[in-house]
Amino acid sequence: MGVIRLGYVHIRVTDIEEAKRHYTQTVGFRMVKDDGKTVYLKGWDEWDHHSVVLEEGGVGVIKLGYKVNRAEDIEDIERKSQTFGVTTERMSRGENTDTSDGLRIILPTSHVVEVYHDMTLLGSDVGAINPDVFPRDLIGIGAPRIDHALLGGDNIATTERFFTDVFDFYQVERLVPDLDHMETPLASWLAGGNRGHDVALIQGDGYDGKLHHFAFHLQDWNDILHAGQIMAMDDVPIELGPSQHGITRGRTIYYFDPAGNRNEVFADGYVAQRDRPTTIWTADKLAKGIDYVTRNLSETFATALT
Amino acid sequence: MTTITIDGTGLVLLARDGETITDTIHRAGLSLNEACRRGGCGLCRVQLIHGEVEFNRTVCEQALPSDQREVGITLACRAVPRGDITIAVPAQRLRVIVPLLTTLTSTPQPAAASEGDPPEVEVRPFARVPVHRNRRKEGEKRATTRAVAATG
Ligand code: FES
Ligand SMILES: [Fe+2]
Repeated sequence: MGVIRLGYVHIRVTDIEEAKRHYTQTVGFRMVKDDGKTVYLKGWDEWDHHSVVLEEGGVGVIKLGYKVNRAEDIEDIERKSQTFGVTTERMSRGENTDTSDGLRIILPTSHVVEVYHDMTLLGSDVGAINPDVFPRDLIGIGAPRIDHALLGGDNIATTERFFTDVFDFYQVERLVPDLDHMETPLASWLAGGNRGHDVALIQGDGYDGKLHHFAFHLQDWNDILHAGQIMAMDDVPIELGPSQHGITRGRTIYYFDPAGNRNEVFADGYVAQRDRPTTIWTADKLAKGIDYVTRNLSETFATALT
Repeated sequence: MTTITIDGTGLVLLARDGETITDTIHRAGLSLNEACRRGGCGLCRVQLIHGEVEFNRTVCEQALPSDQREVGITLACRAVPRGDITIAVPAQRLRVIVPLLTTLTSTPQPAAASEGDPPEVEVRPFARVPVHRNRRKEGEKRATTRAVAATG
């Protein structure tokens, strides 16, 4: 087994102080390192050093990190990347704080993805010995961990193939123009493990290098409503939900952080398996795929990317 | 009171101190095509054709490139008027969604809005918006006051 999960999301924010306040007080992540203009945070149920990195200056995504199981997986991914034909470079231990050596890859959609095999172990906030089920001092939404990221691309077909060929992800769901044009993906959801998706891609003009959103995992529908209530208290702009996606069946709220990056709180979904037949969505049912309940596609879903 | 005139619509909105253009637009029961309301997505761009605004936060190059700033395009969700301003918004991006709030917040009261219909909004793509300075006519203020009094 190679890639285990999306390990970190490194994004740009316009104002680091506002971002810190939002990600700690509203989302409920804990700050583990503060370098002034760059801060590192983790969720209460994550054991590695960090999963969210905020860097001051602009908006959008700087890079994503995927954790692999063993150091040898890095070489394997490097070899496959070269065969595939994407630009890679080796990174050394410590280039990213508390993170092992690894490989940096430039996707055909121009996003930077890093793979690493080790990160300083901090342990979850409930510990690993006779743990309680949640920490007593959760703040705001109290999100336990990050979940997935949705990246934009002018042409996502090659990047989709990168994730299946090099990362050994499998195709969970896919949006196509219609059943006669299945070869061109308009959007794509891919997984390495059993979660609904570890990465998703969406196609559009000028989307290369852009972030549609990244998501925080929540347990269930009640937690989604609770998150919405906290967002109301903290005046967080909401774009969609609380609702459910037809695609992935996830319960969801799409909202924006103080820099205007879209985030999601995402709960439930289903257990995906490697041998699962790919679910196909046709473009005419996109609204139902995104917002299953209202079937109204917000006019900004496909236009607001950072 | 600071006013935001939306060119070509007959709408003159009364802005509160420190309020962004977006805040005033929402309070007036209008909706502007926008998403993040946090200066990141760049969707809420409007053309400033008269007056001055200042941003209440840093606005990055990606959300609003400098060549657009130079021609007076601004982000409604981050721009706070410094004195009276006039903006232009392409018609397809501005809608009246709560006419009641529009009549309470705008002046002079557009005749159409008082009957519950959205006011006619002229189509003006950015490229064709003419830049006029001091286009507000004498006597407009008085018309304003009368309209407000009339709605009581
Ligand atoms: S609404 Fe996104 S920049 Fe104003
Ligand atoms: Fe998502």
